[in-house]
Amino acid sequence: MRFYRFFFLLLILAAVVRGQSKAVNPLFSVPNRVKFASHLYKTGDYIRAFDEYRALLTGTPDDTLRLAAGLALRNLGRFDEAEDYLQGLFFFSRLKDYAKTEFLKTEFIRGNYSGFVNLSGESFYSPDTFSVGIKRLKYFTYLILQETEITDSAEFVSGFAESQRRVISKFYSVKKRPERKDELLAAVLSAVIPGAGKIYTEDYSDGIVAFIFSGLFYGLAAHNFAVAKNAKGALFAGIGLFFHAGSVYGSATSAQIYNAQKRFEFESKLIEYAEKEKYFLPDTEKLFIK
Amino acid sequence: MISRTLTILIFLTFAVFAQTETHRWGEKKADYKIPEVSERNYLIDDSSVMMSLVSGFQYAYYFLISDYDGDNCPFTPTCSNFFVQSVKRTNIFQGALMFADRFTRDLNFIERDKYPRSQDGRLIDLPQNYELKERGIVILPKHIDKEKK
Repeated sequence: MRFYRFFFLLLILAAVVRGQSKAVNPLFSVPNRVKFASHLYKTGDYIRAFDEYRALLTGTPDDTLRLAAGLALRNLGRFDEAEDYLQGLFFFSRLKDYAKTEFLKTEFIRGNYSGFVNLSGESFYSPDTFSVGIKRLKYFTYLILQETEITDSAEFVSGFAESQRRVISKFYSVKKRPERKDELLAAVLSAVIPGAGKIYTEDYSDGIVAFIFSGLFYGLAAHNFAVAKNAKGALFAGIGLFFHAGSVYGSATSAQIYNAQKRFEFESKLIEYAEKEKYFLPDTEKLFIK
Repeated sequence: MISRTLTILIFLTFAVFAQTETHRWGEKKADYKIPEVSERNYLIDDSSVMMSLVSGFQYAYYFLISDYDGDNCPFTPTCSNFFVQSVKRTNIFQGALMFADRFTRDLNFIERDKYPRSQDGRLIDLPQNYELKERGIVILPKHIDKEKK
C-alpha cells in the first residue's frame, strides 16, 4: 500500500516537473516576437510587421512598440492611423519628443506641407531636442510651397548643415528663378507664325505640324482667291483660321504644361532629397527598430 | 450496313469532338478585368441647348466618319470625346479651340512619346490639362505599362 502511494506521488511529481509548459515556448517569447517584427519591418514587410506590433501591444503595452507600429503604418501610407498611434505617445511617455517629431514628419510625408509648417511653429510639436532639424525641414518646405516668399539666400542656406548647403543653395536658386515659359508670349508668337509658340515651349514637332497644317489651308485659300474661287477660298481660309486659333490657344496651354512639368520635377527632386537626408531629423527607425 | 455506318459515325463524332485532356487541364490565363463597355450611346445630351448641339455633332461624326474609319484614334479620350468633354468643362468657344489644338496634335505622328500611355497603349491626353488652369494640370507618369514591368 505504501509502495503504491509512493509510486503514485512519483508519477505526479514527474508529470509536474517534466510536463510541457505552455508558457515557456521560447519561439513566441516577447523578445523573439519583437525581433521578428523588426526583421519584417527592415525587409519592408510593413503589413506583417504592424500585425506583430499590434499583437504585442495587446499583451505588453510598450512605447517603443507603439512608435514602431506608427512608423509601419506610415510606411504603408495609412497616415491617419499612424498619427493616432503617435499621438498616443504625446503625454507621459519617455518617447514623446520622438513621437511629436515623427508626427510632424508624417504631415510632411503625406504632402500636407502647410499643415506641417503651421504645426512646426507651435512649441508643443517642436521639442527643444529636435528644434534644429524641425527648423531645417520647415525651411525646406518653403521650397515646395508655391506661395511662400523665402528669405534671402545667405540666411536661408545658413540654417542647414555644412554638407547640405551646396545642394540647398541650388534648390534655392531654382525656387527663386524657376524655369518658366511665358504663356502670353507663346500665344503671341503663334498668332504671328502658327506653331511658333509651341517651338518656344519646346514642343517642336507639334509646332511644325501646326505650321504645316494652318499653312496648307491658308495656301489653298490664297490659291482659290487668286483664281477667283472666292467661296472655296473663304472655306479654306476659315478652316485655316480655326486651326491657327487652336495653335494660339494650344501654345498658351503648352507653356502652362511646360511650367507644371518643371514644377513637378522640382518637387520630386526636393522630396527625393528630403528622403535621402532623413528629413533632417534623427533616424528614429534606426534608433528604435533593431 | 446502316447500323455499321451509324456506329462509325458515332465513333467518329466522339473522336473529333471529344474534349482532350490537354485542353481540359492545360494552363489558362485568367483575366479578371471588367470588360470595358464601349458601346456608343446615341442619346442627345439635353442638359443645355449647346450640349444638345455638340452631342448632335458628335453622333453625326460617329455615324458618318468614325464608324467607317474604325477605332483608330491613338488618344484617350478620343478626339470626338475630347471635344464633348472640353465643351462640358468650359464653353463652346474654348472647347472648340481645345479641339482644334487636339486635332493638330493628333496629326503629329513624329513625337508621341511625350504622352503617358494607358494600359491598352493609348496616349492619355486629358482635357483638364488644356483649360488654361495651371493648378488643374495632371502630370501622369509616362509609360504606365512599361513601369509595371
